[in-house]
Amino acid sequence: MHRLLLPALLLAAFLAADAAAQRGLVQPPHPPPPGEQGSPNITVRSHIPLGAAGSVSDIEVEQDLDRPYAYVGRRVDEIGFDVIDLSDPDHARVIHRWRIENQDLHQGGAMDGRYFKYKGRTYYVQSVQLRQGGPNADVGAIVFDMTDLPDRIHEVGRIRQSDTPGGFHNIFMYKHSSGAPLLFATSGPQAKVFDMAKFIDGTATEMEAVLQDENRALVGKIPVPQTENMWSRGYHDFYVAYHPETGQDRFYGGGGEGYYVYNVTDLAHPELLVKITGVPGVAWGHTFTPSPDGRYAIGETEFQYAPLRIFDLKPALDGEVDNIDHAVGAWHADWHSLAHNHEVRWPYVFVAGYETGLSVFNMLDPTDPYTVAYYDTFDGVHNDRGEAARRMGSPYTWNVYNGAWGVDVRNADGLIVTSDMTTGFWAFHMAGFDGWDGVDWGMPNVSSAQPWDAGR
Amino acid sequence: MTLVSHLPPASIHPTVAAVSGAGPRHTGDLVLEQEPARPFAYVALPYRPAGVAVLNLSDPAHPTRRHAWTAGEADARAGDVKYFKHDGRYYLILALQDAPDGAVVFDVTDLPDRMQEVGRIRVKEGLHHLFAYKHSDGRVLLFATGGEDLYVFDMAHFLDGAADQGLLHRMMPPEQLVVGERGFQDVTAAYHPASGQDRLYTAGAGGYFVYDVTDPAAPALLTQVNAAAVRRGTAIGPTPDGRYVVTAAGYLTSPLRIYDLQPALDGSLERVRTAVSAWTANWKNTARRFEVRWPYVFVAALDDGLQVFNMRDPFNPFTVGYYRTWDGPAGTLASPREDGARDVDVRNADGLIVVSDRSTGFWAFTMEAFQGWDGHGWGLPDISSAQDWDHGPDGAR
Repeated sequence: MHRLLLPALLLAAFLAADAAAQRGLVQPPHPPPPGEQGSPNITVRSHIPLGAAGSVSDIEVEQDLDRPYAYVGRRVDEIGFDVIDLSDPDHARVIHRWRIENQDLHQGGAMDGRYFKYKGRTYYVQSVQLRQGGPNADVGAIVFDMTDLPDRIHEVGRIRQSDTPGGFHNIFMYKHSSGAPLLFATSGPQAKVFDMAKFIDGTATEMEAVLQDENRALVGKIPVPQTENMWSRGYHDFYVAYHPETGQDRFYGGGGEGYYVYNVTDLAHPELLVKITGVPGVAWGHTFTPSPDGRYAIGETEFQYAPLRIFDLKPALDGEVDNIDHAVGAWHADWHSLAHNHEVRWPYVFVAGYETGLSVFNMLDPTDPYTVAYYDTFDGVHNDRGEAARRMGSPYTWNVYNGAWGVDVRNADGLIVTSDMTTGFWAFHMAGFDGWDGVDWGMPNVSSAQPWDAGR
Repeated sequence: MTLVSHLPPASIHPTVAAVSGAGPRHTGDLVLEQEPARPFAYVALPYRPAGVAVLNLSDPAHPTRRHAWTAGEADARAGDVKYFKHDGRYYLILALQDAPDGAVVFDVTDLPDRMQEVGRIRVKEGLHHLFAYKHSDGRVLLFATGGEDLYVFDMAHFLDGAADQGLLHRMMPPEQLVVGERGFQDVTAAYHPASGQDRLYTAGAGGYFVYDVTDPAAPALLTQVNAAAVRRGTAIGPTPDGRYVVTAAGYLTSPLRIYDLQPALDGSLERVRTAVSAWTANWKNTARRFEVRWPYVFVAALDDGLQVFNMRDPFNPFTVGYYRTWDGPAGTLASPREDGARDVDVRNADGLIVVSDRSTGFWAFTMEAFQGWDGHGWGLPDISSAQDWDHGPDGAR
């Protein structure tokens, strides 16, 4: 017994010393030991496998507790979205599976999804990217009326942009300070802004959809600043948030050569406020999310080995510099992998980390973020070169893009939902996180959750 | 790892104690002579004043500074340091920047007794990194980067006093891949027995480049590595067979990436964009320089000191040894600094490992079961940064 005990004590002492040297939790290597997929403070509420591996994309959860619905995008083999009923979060269930007509003719999938409210009704916008080899390549998003859930949903209309076919990769629904429900969408070399009130009201006319002006709701375009090292010409993703201190509506876009912040209070005249380019390791921006006060922002780059970087926007916002070229902090769940989408609920950041699953880090000190919780939702082979060779004929590191794609947080009760490309829908609870209101943290109550029923 | 010896900066730099005590950043790049009969290491002294120190390792456990040379210009900065052998004599080259000359060449044949300056390479922009190479045609070439260019010198002609300093070629990166980033950074060369080519490996603006320098006056680009996360490559080293390259990007959070050149060399890819794997001691940090002694890679990993990883499976490199030469505060993204292990070299004859730490000085180590290196022992060409000055590259002689 003693022969076993001593090594165990030494190991425990070593681990303790190692843990002391490393702030926060350290996510175990993959695959984790049985029963250790998650940190002790994370509880799985529900898990629903949704379909074939790789057929799941982004996720959105409604914020009102009396509308307990989450939406999960579906792609490749099943193009559409699934509606998850969270009336009992411990027994979530799929209540609708909407699929595009003539699925076999379409190539591509449904990507990002966002909901909004207008005139007392609840709508869901599902972005799609459908290639030109099939029908509907000009459709960027499909709009549904979800008011009558759980009983039924019905399609309201399709947002078409025939001048920039290929659909919308990402979208963001924002309640503008003017009160308008605005849809920001990646489309061509800019972000297009659609007034969904105009879309809904216009679609309600008796004119056939094909005869309606596809730009009737298009109310703005946010350009990508042109620089010589642009890795892409457009945006990949964005976020829009109200900035109470200045009274501005601000657009945070990732794309081009990095990250950009615009004042979009006047949509006809977007004003560039911050440019983040020339950052070592950042050839373009992918996802970009600010802290509630708009001072810091988290940038993702979508390259393997790239951490999430935290940028301090203040020097640019104050006019001290015209470009920010370095991060002040960085975070990784596992440096072999990369993170994907994330949701900021200061001081926590909820991360859909592809192969590393769900992670949560604390950025109270933006220069020293640390992991506070995790759950490994992806049980496949990490960096699966065999699969990469089968799919792309390359044995290299292309196959890191699998696992947790999207994450969302319900502010009312802190429910965390994650969509995993392979393992489906997940719902979690993090101990001590029973809801979020920025005011409780000395911050504006600003997050991706929009005050659809209240003013700014 | 076994620590053999350590010399703090004040024991290396002739004036460091007078300038600022045993302060930071007083030791720079280094090179170790390969013949055990010539047990000398050369450590660049970056600035205040810039120069080079000669360490005598006759007793590796008790190294001593034997000589030191310093530049007269107060603002001069010392870059890389390399040595070569020609016509039975040994020469040392010290790269300089912000000085009238690009490099100083010394005859060090008569060490430990004396070293003698024999000439200066005049490059207005200064020189940064050097690689002395025994070409398959028997010439001793110096590849040097400075300003935005890469220079190729025939050192025999230089020593003969040629009016053109023996300059064979001067070139810029093949295309401007990243605006705002210009020129070359580090350079190395290696013979490639399978093709019979002398190959030049460089890092710089846009990534990494491989040239055929069999005709050193007319380098031909063979392939390049342009990865999205690397605006500027800082260091590159090939495996003995030339198939893989280990690379550094130099920014905090960047690992050493390993690329497979084969698809590009075969012509199935125009250029390489994706690494096969990567290695880091600590993802928050980065690494400066490294020496490949397949399957081991000896890394000067700045804040993480000396690190050694095994890349026998290039897809899954793993750490096999380390020694923390720097125990001060680490640089962060918010407060970047460049302390710790800056350069490393390995003596193939006996496996002695030497490290230059910018703040803590010179270190010598042995690694268990690594008692020397010959590529043939690993089923590969006997090719590393160490040159066979008397016989030329393995496979060409």
